[in-house]
Amino acid sequence: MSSKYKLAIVDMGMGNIRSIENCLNYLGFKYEIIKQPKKLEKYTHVILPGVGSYKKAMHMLNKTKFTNRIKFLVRNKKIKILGICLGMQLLGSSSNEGGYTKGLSLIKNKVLKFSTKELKMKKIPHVGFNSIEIRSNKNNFFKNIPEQANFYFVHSYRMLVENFSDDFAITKYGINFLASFNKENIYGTQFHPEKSQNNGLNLIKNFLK
Amino acid sequence: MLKKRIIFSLLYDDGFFVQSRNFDKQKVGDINWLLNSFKIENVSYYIDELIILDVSKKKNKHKFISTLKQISKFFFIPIIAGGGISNFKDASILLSNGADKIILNSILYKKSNMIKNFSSVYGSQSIVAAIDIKKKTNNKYSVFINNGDTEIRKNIKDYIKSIAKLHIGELMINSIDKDGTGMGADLNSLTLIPKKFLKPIILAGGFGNENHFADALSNNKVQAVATSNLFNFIDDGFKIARNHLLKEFNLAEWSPEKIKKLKYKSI
Repeated sequence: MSSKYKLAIVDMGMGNIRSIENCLNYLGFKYEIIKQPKKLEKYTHVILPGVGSYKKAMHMLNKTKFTNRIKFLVRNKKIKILGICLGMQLLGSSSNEGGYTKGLSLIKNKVLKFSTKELKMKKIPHVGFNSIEIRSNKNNFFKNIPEQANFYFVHSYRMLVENFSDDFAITKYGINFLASFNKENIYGTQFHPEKSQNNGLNLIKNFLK
Repeated sequence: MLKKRIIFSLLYDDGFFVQSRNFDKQKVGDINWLLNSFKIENVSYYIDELIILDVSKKKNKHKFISTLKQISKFFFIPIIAGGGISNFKDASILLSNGADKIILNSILYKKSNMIKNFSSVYGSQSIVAAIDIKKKTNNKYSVFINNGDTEIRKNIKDYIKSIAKLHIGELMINSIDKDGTGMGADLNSLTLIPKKFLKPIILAGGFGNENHFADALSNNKVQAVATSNLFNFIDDGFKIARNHLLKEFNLAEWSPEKIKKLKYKSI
């Protein structure tokens, strides 16, 4: 591990940041929790967690001026960002959860609800451990992650796989949707790595390496 | 493929973890007992989720939160917490101190319009609705709230239908009659669930061994099973049960060795 990393967790006041802290403490990574975007440029790595409502989360990010700061630093300063669950969805262009909401637009993908047609009577939310299928692993984001590894999902909205040539993995629930990706300095997991035993711990380690 | 889940529930009563039988509770041990004698960390490798429920009559929230924090440190699976949640603050304290989801029961009946307030911030997927049910002498089921103390006057099927309309993620059905008996779950209670109920179902109460889990998990209405029995799966109980079930069921499998190996040395 590079000793130069400096990691921040963005605290939007929504959901369980402590589980990510527990995970980082267990792995022995130092981190700081930030509620203001001012100091963001000090960091090399940022984790954008999130559970809950897309609209509410974007509202918080806009109000606190995280939105522009994150976009600038990720695009121009190439800081590494990992969006987890709702955090990954926020990296996309928009969501229709609670009406149309514009996202951070760091990747082009849109977030839409699983449709009843896609689900074919499957239950919603998609909750529990499900296996991922690694489709591309050029950057080694999925290093030490076995084929069909299980990760914990809990969500009703999903991104589809579009525009990916870099690392990505899919999961099938009615349809194939985007489970995780790495595109340059942008990383996302629809699942919760901090809640996915050794598979998730390894993935967090891969992000910080 | 989406896996079925085995959930372990810890019942917390005023500083102690308790064994419940038909909702009568017996204190077993405190947090040190849970960590050092029960070895809860070893259990974490063989279950899929953990419920921590505060069943204390007189709640000391501060003490419960500190217990939740302590346990969540080494659980890399989801944690559901609850017990007497009656307002937004109760829920948000749990969700910012180690809980990934909250479990609601009496509030579903008393203040069902509150559920929207939770889901608008934390999302419906973080809400597990729980109902405690009991079979009456006429063989019909009824719903109890307040830790099994109060029977509600609503028809159970109508009640479940009304819960289905709330902004919740999952439904847990707990049998008071089977609770702590270890005699097997009440699979008949699944007939109470409407056909078009599209939320995941957690069945709780009565599981005493892996065959009971198997009976419930093979039912396609059941997505997860939950046991709160501290004695039936003691020592390697969950390991043995899981390894047995893995042969027949599609469950997630992890490597305890790898998890231990990833632990930072100075912890």
